[in-house]
Amino acid sequence: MSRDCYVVASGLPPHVGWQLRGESLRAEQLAAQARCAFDRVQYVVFLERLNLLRNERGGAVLNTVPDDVVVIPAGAFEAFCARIDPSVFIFSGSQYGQSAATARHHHTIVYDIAPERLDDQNLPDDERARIIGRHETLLGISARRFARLAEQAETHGAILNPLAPTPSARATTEPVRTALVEGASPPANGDPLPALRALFDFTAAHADTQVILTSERPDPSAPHSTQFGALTLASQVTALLTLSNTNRGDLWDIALAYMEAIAPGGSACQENSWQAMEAVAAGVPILCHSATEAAASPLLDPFPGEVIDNDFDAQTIATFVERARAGAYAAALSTAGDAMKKIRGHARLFDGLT
Amino acid sequence: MQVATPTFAAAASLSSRRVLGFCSSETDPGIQHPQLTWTHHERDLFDPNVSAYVIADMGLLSDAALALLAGRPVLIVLSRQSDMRHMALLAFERLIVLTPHDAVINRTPWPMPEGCGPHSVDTPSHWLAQQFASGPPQGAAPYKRLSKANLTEAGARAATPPIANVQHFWRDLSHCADLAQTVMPTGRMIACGDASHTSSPFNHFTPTVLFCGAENTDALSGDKLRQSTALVAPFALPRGTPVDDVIAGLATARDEPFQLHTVLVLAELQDVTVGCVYGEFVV
Repeated sequence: MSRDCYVVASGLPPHVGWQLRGESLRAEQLAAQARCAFDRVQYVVFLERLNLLRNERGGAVLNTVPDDVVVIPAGAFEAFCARIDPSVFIFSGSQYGQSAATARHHHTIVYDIAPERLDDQNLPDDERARIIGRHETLLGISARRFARLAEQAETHGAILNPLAPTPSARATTEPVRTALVEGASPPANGDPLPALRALFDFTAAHADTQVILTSERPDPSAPHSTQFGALTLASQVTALLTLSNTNRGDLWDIALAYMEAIAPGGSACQENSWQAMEAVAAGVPILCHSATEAAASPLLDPFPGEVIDNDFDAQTIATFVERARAGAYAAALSTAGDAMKKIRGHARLFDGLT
Repeated sequence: MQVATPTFAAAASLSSRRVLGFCSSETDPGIQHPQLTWTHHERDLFDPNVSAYVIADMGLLSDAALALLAGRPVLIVLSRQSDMRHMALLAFERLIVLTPHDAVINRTPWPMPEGCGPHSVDTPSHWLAQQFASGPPQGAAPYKRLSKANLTEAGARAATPPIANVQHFWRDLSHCADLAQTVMPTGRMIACGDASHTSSPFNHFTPTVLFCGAENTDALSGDKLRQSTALVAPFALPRGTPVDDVIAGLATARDEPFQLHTVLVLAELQDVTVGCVYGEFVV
């Protein structure tokens, strides 16, 4: 009997190509790791989630679903679980607690979770323990909070499995990398104003460096909206809307450096810095704050870029870009790429599960 | 469906009628032409005898005055970087539709964003003498007979179908950027794949949209697409001719399956139907 594995994902895997999210990268990583241990690996996406993503994306272009993606209405999930042979289900995200409870009757469950998500739900201790207890294996994505997860799930053998996107093979004819790419989580999660102000000062003094903004366009009433608008007036600055996965690859091809424009204090610092990790995987050095998850990732040692403790300033950005241009982070990027490859090929992660 | 009124020889009418220029009282655009008079007062723009505008300070125009640009050709004078960004913002939000009847005089040291603005001219004479600087795409020549109002209406209706709330990169296979931005909102897009724009960091990006005259299907053939790609293909047919052959020609131009989004009839001229096919090659 073949050993099958299903990765239940809230984001579409990157090769679907509509758009990339942290969930997409995480699902792809889990699938890659599962392929080391199982005969067949498929993504499961709930139809309701798919429709949400289609509406958000516009649905007009890039609408295809490949063979390794199973789309199932949420209401039919229980019947789906009963219909297929016993398999391993990996749930990526705490919102799937109920689905995991359903699948558990027939299948083995792996729970991939950031523990603060459980905290966010204000669950009573026994309920939290019950959710954690539904799973044979717990994966912790965040190094910073792994200790807490391990404590909560002492008897469940929690495993730290940090985010590790696919390291890109550097092209032999490498494109000219000229652009400083800015990115951040939605501004509600942190105050991007100091970073945008510093970037504005940087662009005023460095007209020769292309700056590409990938963070969400602010609502006109947001406090940093004016600064964002002023920044986009510079001729070398381009603000992009959401990119398809292919175009994200194109972006990293021309990226000289990546700046994660999040200041400390917001909950963004508790989110995984997926864009920063994606940049590193693409061979692009990163500038981020010490409160972000990228700064704490065990895969980034030595750190392929710069970590700051205070607010961003133009001189820090300029020094970082200058060092990136000089190739000062090449060795650290190579080490990080090797670490990512190693963890993605960690064949023992799902050992013993059938 | 609203049918546009045919208007012929817009260029000829421009050459013999009144052109009104608008600028602030602090600005001296230094642009002169026998047909051109300047004003500092926005109210003068509402004069029905004016057939075209030269706008030097677009940022000063009210919404009501901007609406006038929908029906009359406009020459936009860009003197400052903010002028360029302001025009780009208006085009991004589709508050103005830039057509082949419009043009810019760019006096800033910065190049126009590729595919995101009307063609550039040096003087009003050049503008008055030449609309459709690059000519309509192959098979869509009757587009040249549409007035500014016709094209604005077409642009307003064509804004919706191919648009998703994502970043599009469009490739002009027909070398007619000024018509492309009429039938799709290139203000929200970034041009790529044009050998003459190698300075753009996005030039090597994989396109999400191809712009191609419906008869120019040879230009569509090529290597396997790296991602699903939308197609915008303007066409013109003798009135009474079915449109299915046009769709079939596009659908079979590549190996990838073709999904038709919509076909818009944008204007009915006396003897010709002009429209645009919107679809997608699915990867």
